[in-house]
Parts: sequence; structure tokens; C-alpha cells
Amino acid sequence: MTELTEAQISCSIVSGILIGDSTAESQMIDRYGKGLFTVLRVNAKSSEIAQEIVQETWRIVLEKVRANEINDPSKLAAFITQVGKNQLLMYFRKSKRHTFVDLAELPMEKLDSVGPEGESEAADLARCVKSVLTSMRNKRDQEVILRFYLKEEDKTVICEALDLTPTHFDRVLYRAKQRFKAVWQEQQVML
Amino acid sequence: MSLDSARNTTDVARYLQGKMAEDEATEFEVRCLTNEALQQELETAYQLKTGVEGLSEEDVDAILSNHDDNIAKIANKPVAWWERPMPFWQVAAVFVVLVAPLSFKYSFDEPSTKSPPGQLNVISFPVSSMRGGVASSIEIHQTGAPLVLSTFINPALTGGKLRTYSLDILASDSSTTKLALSNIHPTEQGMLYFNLGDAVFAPGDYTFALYQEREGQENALLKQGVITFN
Repeated sequence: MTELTEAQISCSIVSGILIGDSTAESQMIDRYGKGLFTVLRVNAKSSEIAQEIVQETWRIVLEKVRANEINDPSKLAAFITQVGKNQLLMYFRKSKRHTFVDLAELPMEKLDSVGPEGESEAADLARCVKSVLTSMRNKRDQEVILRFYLKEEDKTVICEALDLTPTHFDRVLYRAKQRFKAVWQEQQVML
Repeated sequence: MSLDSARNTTDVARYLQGKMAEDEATEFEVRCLTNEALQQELETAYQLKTGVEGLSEEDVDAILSNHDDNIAKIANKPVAWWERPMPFWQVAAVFVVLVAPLSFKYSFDEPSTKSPPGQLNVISFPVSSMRGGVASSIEIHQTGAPLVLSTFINPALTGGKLRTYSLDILASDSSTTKLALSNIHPTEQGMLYFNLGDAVFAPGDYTFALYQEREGQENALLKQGVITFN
């Protein structure tokens, strides 16, 4: 038996919802929910806002699917993404928040005074990253991380400057991410 | 590390750095909805990047304190382009040399007003702080001085090709175009200046869209969002 394609799964979910199958609705949310939240969180730079937008997105998507207003059921993921992005745009339009004022550009001491959950999370993340970078014994590895994430230099530029192979670069990044994940999870457990 | 994993890493980095064109970013986001490994990669890279960006200069100094000069060079956080001081003469020179001669068409909600001579109202907006077509907002306080919108396009991202850009400002419901500027060239340093001149907008929200122009192809949408004129 061959595995179902994404298009087939999408069509099956949409058909299920159309005939009133509530498990199809749950299946849709289970299948796409985490990815939708991740994309929205990255764009909103806030878990709180992302959560709010996700709820509204599901409300609209379910309404449209139930009303058979999806043009192409095989592209359900694209539809959900578009609704989510539109909702995010509307959110910022309504609140007129200046999203281009990047929290990362603010001094750390100001973060607490800025407000919601997102900022304290940013401070926690900074502490974790500091711990990871400090634990790195190889100076060049630290430089890779700072150049890549702080200065946003291209991989090829960093490899050339530090005389690294692309494979070595990938390995440094991979190890840093693994270490970061471990430290972050450890911190979440302690909270 | 598998090939898929390496591809995910590269794609995620480009996405987070705002280096994807609108279509590619959308395709990436849709892929992210169904690909758990990609979600995980995006989540971790986002957290790591946010954490690195949140480090204070003192933190970076402390981390690198025992390092040689080569590493110490990156200890200072880069000054964002919109924070870099730009002398008035430089803006004015760009305005006169690059922007003023270019043709543009626009419609006004109200008649233009003469501005105080020698003054420009330069508003900067970043392209890469948020992903592609997702929300961004700019608020502009109209002072009566000629208005210039500026942004930065990393020259490295155009692969050395000479690119031109266009900016549309539409009514908030996108029904009518209020102003359209096209064929705008960036400076060698990647700065783009859109001269709105003496245009006066009725206070309220408008929609803006920034495109990279492509010969023989549909223009690539780099940024869209809300622009509020006061």
C-alpha cells in the first residue's frame, strides 16, 4: 500500500469536515496546528500573539471548510497558512503595533519594562545562549555562531573567513543547536 | 547530518534572515505546516537567533574575553542600518542624484503643500525584521517637509545584479493606488530611497507594497504592510 500524498490527505480531511465528521476537524488541527503556531510565532515574535492568531485562524478555516468555500481542497495547508498570515496582518493593523521595533535591538535592562511574556522569554533565551556559548571551548565555533546569528553573515562567507568546510560549519551549528535545546529544556523543567 | 537536514538548516536560516522572496517564503511556510523536522529546526534556530540577538555587549565581551583580536572584532553588536547616523548632506545628495530625476506617478488626497526649504522627512523601514509579506507597520507624522522613505537591501542578496525596486501605496482596502514609484535604484551600499516629495496623505491607514522589479517576470513582493499617515 502506498503512502497517501499531502494532497490526498488534505482532500480527505476537507471531505470529512464537509460531511460533519468531527474527527476530521481534530485531524486537521493535529496535523497542521504545531507548524502553524511555529510559523506565526516566528513572525509575531511572541508566543502569546501567535496563540491568539492560531485560535482565530482555526475559527475562520473551519467556517470556510464547513461552508465548502475552499477553492482547492488539495492545498489545505496553503489555505491555512494564508489565513494565518492575513490574521497576523490584521492583528498588527488593528493594534498598530510597530513590529519593526525589534526587541532584540533593545538593551536587556529595558526588556522587563516593555511588557508581555514574549520579552521575558527573549531574556530567558539570551541566558541559555550565553550558557551555550560560554561552554564552547573552541573559539572558532563561538565565532561561527555569532557571525551566523548575530551578524547574519552567509555560510560561504563564514567558511571562507574561518577556513572551514561546509560540513564542518554544519556540524558546529548542529552541535550548538543540540546543546541549546538541552539547556533550554533543562531550564523549562526547572521553571 | 542528512541532506534533508542540511537543506532544512539552510532554508530556515534564509527564512529567518528574510532572504527569501515572497513566493519562496510562502512555499517554505506551507512545507513547515506538514514537516515536523522542519518545524523543529525553525523553532530551535529561531530561539537560538533570538537568544544571540538578546545578548548584551557585556555578555558578548564576557564570552569572548579570552579571545584573540580576530574574534574580538565581532564582539560589538552590529549597528542596525536604520541606527547608523546619516548626515543630512548624504540623504540630500541621494535625493538629488538618484531619486529626483526618476519619473513617478501619484494621486493625492489633498493638494500638496510647500515645505520648509532644505528639510527632508526621512522615514526608515526595515525589510528583514519580519518575514516577507507578513505584517509590518510604519507610522509617519507628516511635517510638511518632503518625505523620503528609505530601506536597506543587502547588496549581497542580489548576487551582484543590478536590481530596481518599486513601491506602491494603496488605499487601506487596496482598491485604489495612491502613489506608485518604480525603477528605483539602490545606492552602492544598498540603501533605497523612495521620494514621496510633497505628497500629502489624508490621515489614516494605507497599505504599502515593496517589490523587486524583474525584467520579463512578475515583480517579487519583498514587503507589505500598513502605513499610517498622521
